[in-house]
Amino acid sequence: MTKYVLKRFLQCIPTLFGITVISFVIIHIAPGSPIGMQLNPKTSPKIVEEMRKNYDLDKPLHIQYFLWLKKLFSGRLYSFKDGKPVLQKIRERLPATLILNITSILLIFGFAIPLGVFSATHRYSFLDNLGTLLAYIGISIPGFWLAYILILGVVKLSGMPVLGMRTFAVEGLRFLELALDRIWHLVLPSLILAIGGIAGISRYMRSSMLEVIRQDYIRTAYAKGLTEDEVYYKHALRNALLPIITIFGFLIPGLIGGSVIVETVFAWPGIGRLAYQSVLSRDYPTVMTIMTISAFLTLFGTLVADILYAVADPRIRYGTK
Amino acid sequence: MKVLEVRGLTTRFYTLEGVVKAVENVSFEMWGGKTLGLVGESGCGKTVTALSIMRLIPQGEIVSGNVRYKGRELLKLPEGEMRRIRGGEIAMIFQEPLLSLNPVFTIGNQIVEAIVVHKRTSRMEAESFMIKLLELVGIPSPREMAGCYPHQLSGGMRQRVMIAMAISTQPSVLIADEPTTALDVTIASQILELMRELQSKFKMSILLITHDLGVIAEMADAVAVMYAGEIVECAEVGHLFKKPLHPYTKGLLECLPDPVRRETYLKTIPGHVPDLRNLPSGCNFQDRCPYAIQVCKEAKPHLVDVGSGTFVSCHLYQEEL
Repeated sequence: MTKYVLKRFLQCIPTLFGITVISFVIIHIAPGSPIGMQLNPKTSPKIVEEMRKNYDLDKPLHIQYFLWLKKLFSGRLYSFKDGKPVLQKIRERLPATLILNITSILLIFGFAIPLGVFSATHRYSFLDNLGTLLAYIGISIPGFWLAYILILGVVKLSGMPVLGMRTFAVEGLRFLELALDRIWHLVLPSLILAIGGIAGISRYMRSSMLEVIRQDYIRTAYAKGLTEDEVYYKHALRNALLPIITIFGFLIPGLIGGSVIVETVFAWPGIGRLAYQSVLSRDYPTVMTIMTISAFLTLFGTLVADILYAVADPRIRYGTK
Repeated sequence: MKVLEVRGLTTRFYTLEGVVKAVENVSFEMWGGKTLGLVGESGCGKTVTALSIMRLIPQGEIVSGNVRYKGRELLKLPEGEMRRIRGGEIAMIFQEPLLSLNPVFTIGNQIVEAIVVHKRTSRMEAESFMIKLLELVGIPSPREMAGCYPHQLSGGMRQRVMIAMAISTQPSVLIADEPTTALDVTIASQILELMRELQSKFKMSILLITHDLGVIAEMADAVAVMYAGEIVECAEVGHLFKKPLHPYTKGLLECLPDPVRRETYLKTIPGHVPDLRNLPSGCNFQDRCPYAIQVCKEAKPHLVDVGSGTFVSCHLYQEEL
């Protein structure tokens, strides 16, 4: 098992390399340049040339790539936009993104799995049909639209601001009030972020459960004299959860990559918004670094899913025999 | 002693394409320590009959009939008491032992579960009993095997595990639904031998469902032949093989290849099994029957006693009304 994990980890390296090369090329081919974003069009060509030299933009593309790689690993990569170290910029944004995305993942699994199991065990009942309807609405509704509607509603009802991570310019709160203020600000964005996931994964869970209930070993479990609950929650659920593990792996990259739309709508100071702003200002070092981290986490997520799979399903054993 | 008596059992499935008359007016008796073979082609209602006795027909409905087990009417029992019968008094093993065992639990775990459901014992006691059971059904080094998952065992071993699970509560009736169909010939005869051994040890009645007349000849004391959801002939095994009465039974026996006299063509019964959603009026076998007469198209034959414990449902043997 350890050998398998190590092997998979090493296999990630060439993939990651390929991803960074492609991203690097794409972002440099994209129209616009970092200089044009910063300088007045009337600036003399001499200064433009000097700045290009400053940012190594005058060198051939492959040299630029290796310079970027070198700077990334030596920690001397600076943003084109404000000259701050890129890693520091990302680190500043990390806590906000993590708390938002962990909350929404917890919401997704906390709601989707029970909902899916309930729908499957009460198939074609009124509540199951209602769940199906709501799931389709949840999947099809655009997040940014729902976000604005909810913001309008909440502000109208409570008069409390819901943008950012905390109420602006309020001082001297006690700890409890501060915590409540933070949670209040977290509710809407994490809910909006989770709604599509809840809708989708609860459907996934439902069909997975229905698939398992048809299996012969479920009949065996009934023939043993087990109650319906024992059959569903012991024998069926464990098998039905296996495919869901794969989805969990897909959600891991979102932990850091964040969500551009939700973070923008809610003025959430996370990495998604940083990436968006960096793209707009052609801040190559920041964009590339965020992309690399996301790519790494995607690969890491599938690896984690594979490992969890082997832990949960005894039929899968990597590397043995 | 009469252990189980089935009278007029009728089970139907309601589908979009019509009502499937899977089991129609089926009656038979099972005696203590004896084996009743239930034989017929695929889809003739053998399995549905067995599952109806267990009341495990989630998609369909047991329309009418009686299932009396030691004087108790099973079809009217509250679900809670029926659960004590399932696995406790009437146990069942299935055709495909790999699919019938839950892939994510060890075999030891699954047997212990069956013991604990029906007996008030501690987990420790149940586990040592489980080891004894595995030994009893002939599993080598049972202590290590108990920790195995179903996929790690061979087909024969899996069926032994199923049998161990079934006899763990010393049931009075064992329903074996095609227990050897998925196994090699040599393994199959070992399993049959084991079943016979356990039968004499625990004085179990066995309902042996199969389409293999060889298995019937080897195992059964009495035979019920099913065709299109109905029992067409019921007799002691010696009588049936020596002097089959119903044209369908005759046809079945003629289909058995003779190893001594190799013929150019294997015999078959011409025609097809009728659609259970759309049965003909009159006898179900009329289209394939070489002896069919006018009355076969008009009236349904009934099971009549023709002496020496043989019952047959055919107009050729029907007494004048």
